[in-house]
Amino acid sequence: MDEPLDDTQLLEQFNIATTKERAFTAILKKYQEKLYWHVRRMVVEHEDANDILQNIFVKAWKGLENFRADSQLYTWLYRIATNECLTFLEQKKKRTTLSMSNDDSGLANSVKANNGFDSNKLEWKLQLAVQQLPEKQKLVFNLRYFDEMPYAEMSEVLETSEGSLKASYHHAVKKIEDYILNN
Amino acid sequence: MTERENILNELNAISTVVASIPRVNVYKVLEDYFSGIRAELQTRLIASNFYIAEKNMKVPQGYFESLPATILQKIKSEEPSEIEMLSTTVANIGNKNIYAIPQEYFEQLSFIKQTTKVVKIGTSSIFKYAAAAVVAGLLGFSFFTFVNKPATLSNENLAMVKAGNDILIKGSFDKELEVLTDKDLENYLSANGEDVNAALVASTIDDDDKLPDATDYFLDENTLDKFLKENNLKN
Repeated sequence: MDEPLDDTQLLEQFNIATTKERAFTAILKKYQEKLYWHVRRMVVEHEDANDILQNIFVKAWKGLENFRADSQLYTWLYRIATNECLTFLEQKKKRTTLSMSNDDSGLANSVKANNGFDSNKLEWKLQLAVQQLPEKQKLVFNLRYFDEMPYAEMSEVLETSEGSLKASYHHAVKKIEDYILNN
Repeated sequence: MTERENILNELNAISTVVASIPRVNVYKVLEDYFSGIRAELQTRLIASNFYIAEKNMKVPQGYFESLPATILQKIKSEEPSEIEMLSTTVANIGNKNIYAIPQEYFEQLSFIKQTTKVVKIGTSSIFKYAAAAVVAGLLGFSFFTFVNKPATLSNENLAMVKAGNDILIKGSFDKELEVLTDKDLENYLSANGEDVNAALVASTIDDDDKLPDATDYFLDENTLDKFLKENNLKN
């Protein structure tokens, strides 16, 4: 069985017409689950996550030819994913405003609508708490807590200094603690 | 120390409550979702023409020639029109014409345009000048025959010469003018188009208008053309 190719090799193969599709499929296989969960935790609903995931890879297909290896492939993909999530959430917020809905807990309601939701279980409470956070703090918390991403890489993805990211993470954890203790 | 241990220590330092929560994924996806997503994505890439175009290295014939126009059209169609920018309410009303016109109005209108020659002129005025032209023609003919004395004249022409001479001798120009019948005028007009045109030109000039004088014609050979043009008399 062939050894899996690393990102540099995959990028080289992507730039050769005959191996382009194979390389792209390999990139897809390697990162689809990580990216899906990153997106899903941000937008909660599967259908939305699925749409966003497809957009991410369509953009990756278009942009990979010009991708320069001065950043890692996976931080580049995470950056696309993060931007797609933020755009989606922004549009969703606008739609909610346009429909005159005063319901600010849309994402929390989506969490509650998930199969297996149990408000007594701490892991579900944690998800509800995360949905109360501002988007930037939510991103930082998810990348650190669930994706176990080092600050240096997170700094590349979010284009923010490590110090600022540490502060955001600290605030996010404190808000989550507060929510869990009071709900 | 691994990144995971680092994260756990950091979390414990910030909040033991949060650190104690089991770190599990609460969300679910269908079992074969991730294998299906690749096929779904490939379908989407094919639909967006990206995959297939690059795979076959072909584009539809004339694609690049028509591409700029297509893109411009798309941009224009997405741009709001001026009225939409000013007021969406008014723009939504549309610009449909609510007024009705008689049936086949425009077909008939083009027919009218073809057959009608619009002349701005008073009826009494035209007959006045036409009658003067008839009498002037009669007198002119009489004078011509008197000077040139042709060898033979028809009976009709002789009668005309005699009538003209009588008018000249008696000085009854105005009197003769008054007794001219419509028939006389009609016969003369049909036989002497040029004089009628002159009469029409003269009749359209208001009394206050200043006609070009001899000096004007001497200084500018286009004086007449300009004058006619100014008075909308030139075809």
